[in-house]
Amino acid sequence: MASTLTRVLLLNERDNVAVAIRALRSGEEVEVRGRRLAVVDDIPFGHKLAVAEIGTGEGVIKYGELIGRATSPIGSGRHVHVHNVVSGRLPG
Amino acid sequence: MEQLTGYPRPDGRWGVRNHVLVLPLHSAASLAAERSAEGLAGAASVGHQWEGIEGDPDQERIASTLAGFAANPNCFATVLIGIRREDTAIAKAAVRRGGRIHLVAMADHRGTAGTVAAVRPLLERLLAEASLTQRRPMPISGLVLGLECGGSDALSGITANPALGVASDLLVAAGGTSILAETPELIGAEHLLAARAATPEVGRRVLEVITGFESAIRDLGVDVRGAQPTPGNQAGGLTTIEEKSLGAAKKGGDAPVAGVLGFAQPPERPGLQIMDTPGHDIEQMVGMVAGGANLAAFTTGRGTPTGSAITPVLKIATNTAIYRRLEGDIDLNAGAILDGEESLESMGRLIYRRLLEVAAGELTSSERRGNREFAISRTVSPMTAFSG
Amino acid sequence: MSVTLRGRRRRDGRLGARNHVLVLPSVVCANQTATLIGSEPGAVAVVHQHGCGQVGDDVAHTERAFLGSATNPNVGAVVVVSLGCETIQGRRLARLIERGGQRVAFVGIQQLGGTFKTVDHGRLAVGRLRAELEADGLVEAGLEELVLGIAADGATRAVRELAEAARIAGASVVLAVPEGARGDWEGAPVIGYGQAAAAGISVVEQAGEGTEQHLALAGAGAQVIVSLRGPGRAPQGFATGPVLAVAGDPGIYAALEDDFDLDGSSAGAEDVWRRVISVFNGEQTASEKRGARDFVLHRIARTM
Repeated sequence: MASTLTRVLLLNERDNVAVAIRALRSGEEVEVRGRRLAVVDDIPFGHKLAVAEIGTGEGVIKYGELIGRATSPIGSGRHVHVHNVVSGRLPG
Repeated sequence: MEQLTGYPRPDGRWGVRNHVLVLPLHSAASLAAERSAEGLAGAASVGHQWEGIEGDPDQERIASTLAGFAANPNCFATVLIGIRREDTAIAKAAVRRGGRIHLVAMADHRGTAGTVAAVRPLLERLLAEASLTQRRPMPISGLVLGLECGGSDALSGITANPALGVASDLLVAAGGTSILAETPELIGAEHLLAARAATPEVGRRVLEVITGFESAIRDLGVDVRGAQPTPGNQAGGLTTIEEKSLGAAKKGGDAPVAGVLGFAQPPERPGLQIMDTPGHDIEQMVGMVAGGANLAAFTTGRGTPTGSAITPVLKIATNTAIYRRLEGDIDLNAGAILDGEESLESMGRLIYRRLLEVAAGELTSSERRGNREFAISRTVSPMTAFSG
Repeated sequence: MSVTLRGRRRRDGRLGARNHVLVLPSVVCANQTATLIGSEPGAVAVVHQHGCGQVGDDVAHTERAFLGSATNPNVGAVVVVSLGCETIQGRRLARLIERGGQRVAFVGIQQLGGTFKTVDHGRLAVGRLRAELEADGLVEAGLEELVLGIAADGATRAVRELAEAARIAGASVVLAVPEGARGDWEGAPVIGYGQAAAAGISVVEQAGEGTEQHLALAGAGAQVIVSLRGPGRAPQGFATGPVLAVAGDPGIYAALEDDFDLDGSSAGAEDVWRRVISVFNGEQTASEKRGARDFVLHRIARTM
């Protein structure tokens, strides 16, 4: 599935987040959809980074499906997690 | 592939193990159950905390769990330890569900010590009888596979779960049964499952069960963010319940959904079944085993050593780091997919092959360690139930 | 009859009737590992089915229950066994126990790399803590240092008489009765789950029913528990403390005589009270003799 150079996985063409399959450091570059993307935050292994701008209230898409909504604007290359995403189904 | 073998049971089901189980019907019988089985090879016991206090609104659910567990086809026979000899309802239900059941009442033996003294010779006799039964050629349709994920991380939905989904599809295609459960961990994926329902009625039930659990949680009016996803899930990169669910549902592969089962309810037909259980790893496993699962596959991202007293549980790591770190606790490494060593397809075939080997008698890591976690699953908060 | 207590003087000043090292899993997934650690001499491992998939007040309630059992004066030290990804985080629980003045060691399965490494670390910790326990010297003390727990289905005459006998002798009494069954103690001071018993007679809230009450009473600091169940109820104990099980009717007593301590139909409050003192001072109860490790938690919400 992954070559040794792969650092992020985009699971579905519709997705606006990708999964880091190794820990990424701020300032690194990764390749997504054939384009270079600058990593803004440190992204731990298994965590997500935005591969497009996601506005407040917009859906976060992974596996081609809705996994929650952004609670603040998320820039491309930023860490996407509980600090800026809320579940649409079981919010706190 | 070699011929699958197992133990035929009188009701037509098949066991892949031949345990003699000692199961308490009351919390006060747990110690007697444990002591009775201690040191006897082939005897298994579990303990629990249920007291069956009058008016328990979960009485029926719990009785059905205990009866189904006792009647699991991996048991050659089961000794139930109750308090009074008149309390026969669970034993009768276990017999109706195909179990070979002996009931011993503590009140006939003045307490724990006398009960243990009475049960041990009975166990020795049953174990001797069990040792005379031989494995026989078994059809794949005799397998009922419980699917589980626990201690999930963001890789669960990318490596181990979809690979297990491939294995589940192979089993279903060969005439076997798979059980997908963990209802709260299907919230956000129910539309995908309902779309695969074999009949409109099954599709309706899928939506009903999953959204029903969701409203039950909402009705609690509490913040569930620390529980779903769990702290470990969040540390592993899972952000919301939808994200966890979409990954969890991949264990069920792409097969049509053949039926929807209540907690601990046995499937009526082969194929992929959805069982309504909590996400709690142990409650879920007990529910599936009580429903007749004679084999289980359990994917884990953070690593967890749990097993079942009577059903072999194959542990599959989602990433290589945790597989190496907890190697003695985990059987297979689906992290090989990310490492470029396996494809989803080849990993799925490998899991399927290993499951058949385990069914044929190979011990899993949790069986070797003797893991036998057990839990009673409730639907009603005891406080609400008992405060009147 | 001696009315003087002999027990272990704990660092926080309380008196322990027993000197256990408790091996406490923070989650059901660590049960087997805890059991293997608990096979070390001098340790008592408990198993339970909680710590994961819990929500709301139920999480704090469970944490209070674990903390209460771990800081009961009958326990001199605790080994917390964690999986790592659970709702009731083991490391946080160990910190809370330490802050409660208790000796504690922490082992984590995911952190240490599997069951066997965790068992090795846990067993070493038991040995180390066992040696440290000797610092809590055996001392004599008066009855005012006794906290008697009474677990009951309701405010029966037997409960009233035992509570009064203990109160008059100077002991503190803490009662666990189901909500709505407090009877005479409707106006008695109520202590929150996990809070220390008040002087005189107090009632612990959210104690639940049946054996669940033992954990609530341990959390209030009870060194000895008397179980005064109604007719027909089976006798149970508690993992890290003595429980005097009094049968609710002669029939159940005759049927399960070995597992009961007293028959409530013939033993009066004075008989029970005398046994409480000798049990505090080392006489083993039936549940201790048979090795019962009952540890039942009253949950206040369903599992996720």
